[in-house]
Amino acid sequence: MIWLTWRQFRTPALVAAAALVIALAFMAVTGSRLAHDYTTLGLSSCAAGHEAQVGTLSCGDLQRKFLGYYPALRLLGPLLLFVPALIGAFWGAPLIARELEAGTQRLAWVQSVTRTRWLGIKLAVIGAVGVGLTALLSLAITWWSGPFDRLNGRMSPEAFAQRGLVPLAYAAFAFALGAAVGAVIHRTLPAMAAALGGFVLVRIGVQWLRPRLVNPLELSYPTFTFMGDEPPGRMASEHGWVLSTRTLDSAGHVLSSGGTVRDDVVIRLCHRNIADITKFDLDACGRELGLHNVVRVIPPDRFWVLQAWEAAIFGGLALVLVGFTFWWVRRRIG
Amino acid sequence: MIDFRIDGKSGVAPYQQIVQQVRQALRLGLLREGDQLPTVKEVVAQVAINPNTVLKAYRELEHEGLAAGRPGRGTFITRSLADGSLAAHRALRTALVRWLADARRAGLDDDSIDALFQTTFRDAAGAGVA
Amino acid sequence: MTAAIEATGLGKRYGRRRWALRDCTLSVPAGRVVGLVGANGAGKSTLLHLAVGLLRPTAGGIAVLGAPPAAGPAQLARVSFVAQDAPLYPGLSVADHLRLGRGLNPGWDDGIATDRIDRLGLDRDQPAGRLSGGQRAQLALTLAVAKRPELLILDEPASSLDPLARREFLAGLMEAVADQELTVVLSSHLLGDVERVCDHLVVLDGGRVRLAGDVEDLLAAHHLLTGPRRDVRRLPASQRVVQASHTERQTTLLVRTEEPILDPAWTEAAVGLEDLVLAYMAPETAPEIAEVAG
Repeated sequence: MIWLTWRQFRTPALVAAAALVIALAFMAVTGSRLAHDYTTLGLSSCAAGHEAQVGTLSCGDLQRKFLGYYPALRLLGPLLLFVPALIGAFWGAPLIARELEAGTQRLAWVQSVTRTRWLGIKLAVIGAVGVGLTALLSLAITWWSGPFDRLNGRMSPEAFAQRGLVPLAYAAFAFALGAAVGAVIHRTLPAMAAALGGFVLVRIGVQWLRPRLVNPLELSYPTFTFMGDEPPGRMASEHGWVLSTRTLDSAGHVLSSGGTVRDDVVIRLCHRNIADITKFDLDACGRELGLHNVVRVIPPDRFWVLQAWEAAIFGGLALVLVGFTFWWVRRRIG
Repeated sequence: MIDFRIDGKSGVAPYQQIVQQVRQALRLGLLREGDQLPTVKEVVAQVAINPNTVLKAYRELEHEGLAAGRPGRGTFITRSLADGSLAAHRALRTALVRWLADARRAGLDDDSIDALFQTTFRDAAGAGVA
Repeated sequence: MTAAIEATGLGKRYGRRRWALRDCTLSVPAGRVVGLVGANGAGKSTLLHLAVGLLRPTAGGIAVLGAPPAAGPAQLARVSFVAQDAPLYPGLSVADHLRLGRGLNPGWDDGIATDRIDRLGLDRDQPAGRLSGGQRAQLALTLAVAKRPELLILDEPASSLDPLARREFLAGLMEAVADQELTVVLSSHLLGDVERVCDHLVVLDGGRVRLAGDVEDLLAAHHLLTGPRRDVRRLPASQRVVQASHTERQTTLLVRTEEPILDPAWTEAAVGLEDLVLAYMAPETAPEIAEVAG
């Protein structure tokens, strides 16, 4: 039965392995260059929160320079976001659907193996390969993204979805969803579409849920600061997941929601004349009004808690779907 | 070795057809005492009929004393039906070929020849000649 | 002897309305080649799928070789099935299919399989999708037979084949029957084939069993009688009229009886299998005529 599973799965597996090898090779080549450039530009001290030690460029400028080096490489980042969906659509959905569509279950289910064993071995073997390849890819991308993570943290939605345990949980869930949908719909193409759609919906849903699983930090600092002044908690907001930034005055009125506020708005509130304003006046006015930014952020130390939550949710869903698939194939087909 | 042919439309039961064909072969000297009949498997592979039919036919032949089964070895002919008239067959065959040529020259087609033969055969049988 | 297939009040309904099989009670004896006969849509496929566990009954029950269908690996090993149009994996080669059989069936006899494949002259590396209809049927039959089952079930195995391929398929099937102790149940709407190879008959029509019994017994028990016009109700009770037709002066009857026909007014003729089956499939034949025999 294992041989049969492999034989039927041979082509998709080889295609995936080839794609993985290409991706790994690409990452090996570019990843070392990225790490090299990161060190050469002296970005490690920026990441630690100190100002740049090199030349006259600020940390912000250095970062922009670094990110500008290989703009196309940013495309590699979201690669792993698609992999679970592809596994669900191309490996999970056809698993049972193609058998039923072609009618070959009338051959497979009259051999001397029960439906349960037939399904169990197929799910186990292909599921293991899917999760395994995803794990490999995830490790590689984590290493490759090292420089970016050191600068921006890994709490942003894109980064978070590609680190730690969740890619594996997504892959397992997508595969189980594909198989279940394929068993019920028993036509390959609609099943693929449904698996894809279902996976995207659940991912969006759980991502909406993610920030509600822990209490975000609320950081507050004055909107206008002198260069060199460190807003407290800057590390948390830069390496964490910023949920919202609002500018409030001392009375609590919201002036803007973007983290910046227009100069002329501020001036008008201070009842001053726009024409002869200087930076110092702006800052003074800001302090007068009590302008401060309130940032709601999920700090980076919450990374593993959220990973555990999400892995549990997707893993649990995967188990439920697998159980459902067994029940459906055994009891409801025929 | 004998080749069997089963005519599904003849109205004669398949096992009877086999028995008849064996008897026919014996009469014509195509099968002789000691010859082996094809195995059940060989017959059905050729003719696609139920193996029990073949078994039934062979049992019938055993019952008539024409054949006997030897366990593990097959079914063998135990008696011949050739009545010593084989020599006469050749002469008769030649005469028949000549008669047929005459009939054709007289302008008879296949059906007419067949009808002529059948009616003459029956009349002669009725008269006690055949 | 255990019945090969034993059905009691078996029924299968698709959706809410359509009963494909209804009130099916029959007992198929072991050691026979059984022909399951009926028009398309009569319920033959449904019955066979129920027997191998590909379908689940809506009503009633069915036991195959004394156990529920597909009850476990041991039961699955005792029964083989060749579905209609011989389903195979188009991308897998002939050799791959043999490997499939070997790996999934503990009772597999590779000698039987390779012997048949060689005699058929099949190319082992050829993908099953590129075989001809007759070759696919033969490969499917090989897979079914090499597993050495006790019961072999075939759903219209030869219906879509040309006459030569059909003959070769049946010959191959009969060889297997001659070789192994095998009960065969095959469904067909081609009565000529049924007549050649089957010694037991089951007639299905409209999802119900109309007639069942050994072919020899059935043919011996049925008589086609022609005679002067007469009222069928005047016939002796032991003679059950299956089908009657009247002209102004003549009556023709198909009668079932175990006793000899003594009335000299009747001219008796033998009934062919085809006429017998058609008589039991005719709509005017009352359901109570049918009974389970054998």
